[in-house]
Parts: sequence; C-alpha cells; structure tokens
Amino acid sequence: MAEYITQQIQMIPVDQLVFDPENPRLPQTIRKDKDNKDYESLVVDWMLQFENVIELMGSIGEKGFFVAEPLLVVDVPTTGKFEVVEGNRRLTATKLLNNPELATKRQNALKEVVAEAKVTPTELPVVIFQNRSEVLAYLGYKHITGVEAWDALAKAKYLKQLIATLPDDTLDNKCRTLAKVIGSRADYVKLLLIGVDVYFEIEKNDFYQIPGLSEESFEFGVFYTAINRSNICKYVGLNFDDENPLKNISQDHLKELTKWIFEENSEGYTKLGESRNLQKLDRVLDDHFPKALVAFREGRTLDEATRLTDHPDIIFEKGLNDSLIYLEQARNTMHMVDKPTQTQSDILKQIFKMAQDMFRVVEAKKLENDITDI
Amino acid sequence: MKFKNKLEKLPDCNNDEFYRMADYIEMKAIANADGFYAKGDFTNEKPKRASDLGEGDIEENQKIGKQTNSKKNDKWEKFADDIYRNLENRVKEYKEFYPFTLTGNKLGIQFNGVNTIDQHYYVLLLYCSNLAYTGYTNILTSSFERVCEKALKKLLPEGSDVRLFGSSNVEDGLESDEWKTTKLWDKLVWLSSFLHSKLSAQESEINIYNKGDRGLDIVGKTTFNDNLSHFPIYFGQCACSPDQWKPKQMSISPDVWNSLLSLNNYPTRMMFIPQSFRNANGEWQDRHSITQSVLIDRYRILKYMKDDEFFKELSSYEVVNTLLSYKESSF
Repeated sequence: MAEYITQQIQMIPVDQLVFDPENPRLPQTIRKDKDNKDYESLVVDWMLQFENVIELMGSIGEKGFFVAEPLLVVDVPTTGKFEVVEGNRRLTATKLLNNPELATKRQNALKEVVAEAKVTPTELPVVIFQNRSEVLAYLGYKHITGVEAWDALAKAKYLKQLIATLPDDTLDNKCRTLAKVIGSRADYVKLLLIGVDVYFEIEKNDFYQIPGLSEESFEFGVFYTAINRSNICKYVGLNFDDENPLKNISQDHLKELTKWIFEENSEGYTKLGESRNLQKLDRVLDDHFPKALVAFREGRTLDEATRLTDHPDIIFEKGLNDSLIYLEQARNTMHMVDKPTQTQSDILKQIFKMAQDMFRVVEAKKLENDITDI
Repeated sequence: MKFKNKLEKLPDCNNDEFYRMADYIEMKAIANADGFYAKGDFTNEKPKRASDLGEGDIEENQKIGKQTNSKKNDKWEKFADDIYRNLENRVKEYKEFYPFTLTGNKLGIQFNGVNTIDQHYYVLLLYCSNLAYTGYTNILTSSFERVCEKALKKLLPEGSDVRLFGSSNVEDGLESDEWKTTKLWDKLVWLSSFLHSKLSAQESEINIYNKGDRGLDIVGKTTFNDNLSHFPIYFGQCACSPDQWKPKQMSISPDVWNSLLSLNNYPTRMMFIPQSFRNANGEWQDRHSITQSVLIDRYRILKYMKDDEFFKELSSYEVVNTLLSYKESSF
C-alpha cells in the first residue's frame, strides 16, 4: 500500500493539474477523447451534470481547499503536468471556480455558486507519486467503502485495475486481499469482478446492438444482482467457484439475458421491467419448470411465465402468513380501542367475506385435485 | 415563496414505490436553477435514507450475510435505476402532457417548463400527489375534486349529471359554500331524490351536528330522459394522499351506503387519485390494491382534461405558478 502519508504535501498551480485519463468513474465515451483538445471541457461538463460538483464548489468557495486532504497525483514528465488520480471532483470544482467558461451545462447554478464564492484557490495541495498503482489502494477505501462512493461499474472497473497489481494467487485469495485493502467483503469483491468480466463480454459484442444501450445506460447494479441469483447464474453458464468463472459461459444465453433486461419492445418496455422482477426471472429460469422458459421465450410476459412456476404458490402462502401476522397485531391492540368506527367494522366485514370466499375456493380445488388423483 | 417542507426530505414510502420517488425527482428538477436533476444527485441523497435500504432479498442475504456499506450503496444505485426506468416510461406514456425529457443517456431529467394546458394539468396533479411538500393542502385538494368532477363529466355519455357531494371544497364561488354547512341528513335527502332511491336511514339516526359527506365526494348518474329510476349511478371519491386511497375505497362501497339509502342498483365506484400509479412497464404499480373500483389515476385524468382551459378557473391556478417559480438554492 502506498505510504503517501509520510510524503510531503506540495502546492501546485491548478492549470498544471490534469484529469486522470483512466478514471473509472468516467464513461468510455468521454475517456476515448483524452487526446482531444476539448477533453478538459468534456470532463468538466460530465462531472458537473452527474457528479454533484456544484455543492463541492460551494464548499471550496466558502472555506477554501482543505490542505490536509491533498490531491494524489502522478508526475507526467513528458507533458510537464500532473495527472490527478485521486481528487478529480475537487479538481473540477476548483477549475470551474477559476474559469466557469470551461462548462456549458448547469449555467444558472454555476453562476450562483461562482458569484457567492469568497475564495478561489489558484493552486492546490498535492502529494506526488511515481506511478498510478501506488495510489490505487487508497482509492478503493475511499470510493468503495467510504463516503465518496462510486457507482457499481466504476467500482468494478477499479477492482479490475487493482487485481492486476497483485502477485499470482487463487481468485478467492486475491479477492480476500482486495477486500482487506478496500475494507469490504471478499464475496462482494468477487461478485463485482465476475460481473465486470461478464460486462466486458457484452461490451465486446457491442451491447448486442440493443438500441440505446451503452456504458452509461448499462445498469450494472441490476445486472450483477441478476447473475448473483442461482438460476440466472446457472443459465448464463457462470461458475463462481471456478478459477475462471466465465469458462463455460453461454454467449447465446448471455445475449438473451442482456436483451431481457435492457432491450425495449416496440412499445418501449423491457421484458424485465423493474429490478424487483429479477426474482421472477430467476424462477422462470429454474430448470424444474421448463414450460415457463419456453413460454417466456415465445413472447409471454414475465408475469405469465411466472405462473408456470411454483412462484404463485410461494406468494400465496406468504400473503396468507403476512395477513395472519397483521391481523394478530390488530387483535392484540384491539383492547385499547375504546370507540371503534364504522370504517373499522366495514374493513373487518370485508376481511371476513374475503377469507370466506378464499376458503371456499381452496377447499373446492383441494377436492377437485383429490378426485383427479383417484 | 418556498415549499412548506423543502424538498430535502425524501417521500416517506416503501422502497418499491418508484412512482412516488419519480414524483419527487420531477419536483426536484422543477425547483433546480437549471431545471435539471441527475441520477447522481439522487444517489447523493442516500445518507438521509440509508437505514431503509440494504436489507436485500432472502437469497442474497443467505449468500453473503450482512450487507456491507458498498453493497448498500449499490442497492441505492439500483433503486435509482428503477426510478429512472419509471421516469422513462412516463416520457413514453404521457407524451405531450409531460414537461420533462431524459438527457445524458438517461442519467438526468430536464424540466422544459410548462408550455401547454396539458402540461399545466400535469404539474397540478404532481403537486396534488405531494401535498405535504407544498403547504397548500386545502386549495389543491379542492381543485383536484373539481378537476375530477370535470373529468367524470367528460367520461360519461351525454345526458349524464355529475355533482360534487363532498363537504370540504374551498373553491371560491361554488354552490358548495352553502353545501358545507348543510346537515348530513339534508344531504342524504337530496341524494335520495337525485338517485330516485328511498332513504333507509331515519333522521333520528343521524347526528344533527353531522355536516359531513360519509366519504362520498362526487356523485353521478346517466339518465335516459324518462324521469324513471334504475339508471347507472357512479360514486366517486377523490384522494390526494397516496396512503389513504386504498382503505378509502370502502367508504363508497354499496354495502356501506345501503344502510343509508336503498340503492336501486350497484353504483360504479370511481376512485380518483392524482398519482401516476404505474410501474416502469406501464402496468399498475399494485393492481391488487384496487378493490372493486375504477381507478382513475393521473394518466386517465389527463386524457380527459386535454386542451381544457378549465384550470384557469381554479384557485390553484396561481398556486401552481407560485410553486413552479420556487427555485432551490444550490446550497
């Protein structure tokens, strides 16, 4: 781990500090333009829109830059500048306080914050490192476990960079090491690493030409949650216990899964809908219910396909148990209600009637099944 | 002018009620100096609600046990993804009614101003759905009832008669000024005549100080110009509170009303709500909570109010403009 704490803090002019071209937070659509003369403006606009820079500008403009929290930079002798590996949001905020014309977005908020700024730092405290990998470990603690959390895909990409710096070992041991470094859990680290590898497969296939799907619109949190479900994981051919978890990956099934999650039909709806439906998708992919998958593939909705699994039985029984718990809660409070209302009486009547109807249906179905068995 | 409760506090709702969070994000965009609100702005709100999140589902918990901070952050991000999927659906469903667009690969929402009559209704219903933030509860609920009355008139065939029955409307110049102080018994007498029904309750059974409406906000009928009984009737209720409309459906149930009036036939129960009670796939958020009612939500109301300048007559007209003009400071 980098021993930056013992290194000296230096003050460097803001215009000598440049954005990290490998910042995992930035989408590839921005990073690919790192040699473009407008790269700085592109980064600034993106940060300004999507990374809460305005609040940070307010803080720096009010109190100045906190010297005890230096930027972590790498010296780039060929350019004479310093790449900021840690502190790109703060760098954006400071650059904008100095030169608001850099941005084209959020102009009203920008004007307000610049007008009210009492301090505009022209140089910033930095600690200089020889290379990027020296800084990487610290980034993890701050942006994965700490308060300045990155989004899931940025975290996964960062872990991918970090694992490449570790000595040869088993995947599980590497994940344990990484978990210690970033203050997280090994299984979570492993999930993100496998998830990002699967993501790279999808990216390599140009997102299967799904309209509108890109690095920025890819909901990685939803995706890795999906592959963490046992039936979905099995369906895609992932093996979390293997040294190479993607060894038997099914490209066809991966394509299918990606389309179910992200591809919109002519009416603009995805097969999955909301992420809570992953539970249903996982049931549909359970190989105990092959008819459900066939129906789903043939164009039935997820709800319709789910009816061909045991999911409705589970939901039915859970609903009944939950209702019983709530009714018991109400019964245990009843003695404290001195003046019951007509509405309360009406609700009880409705519960009674509904329970009676359901009981009749259940008994009739049971009888029907008994006769069929005979 | 400021919102009664600034838009800092997230709605108090369940973690799967994305439609309510979507409303919150729309209000944040309206109140933003640039009319913009990013997914990242929303995930930044997590410290205010972090304890609600991160418990995950059973399978995940069995697999990895207690949630780590980083996993909780990811859950929050997934939550934001679901909310933005809901917003994306609104762009498609509401079309010209919708005063917002999604930008930056769906990473942000942009408010484009209220430029049409339809969009004015949209924001009126948005604020009616989120009364706690506005500080104009009485005016907005009253306007909502009148919009619902108008929407029901448009929904029903020609020759139908629709009236406000509720006793709490504060709209200026309405007949309901007098209606508010009318005793419940006298209201029931009027209703029995309006519906060609007989009263089953006795005057002595109704508290003489009761000036309420027994939960009936709107009543309608479709007659056949023959002055006979036995025609379709409609009992409507308007509920702005997102938590209250579900149990309120009971109050317009024929079982409840038959103890007061001998209704000749079952009324169609209409439940009007200003919320967009739909999920990301345009389906009902929870269809099982709609019990024996015709649910008229934001989308359905808007369809019937299209191009209707009626909103200018409402006392909420200025209120909506005031709320629209409110901009949050960046700090």
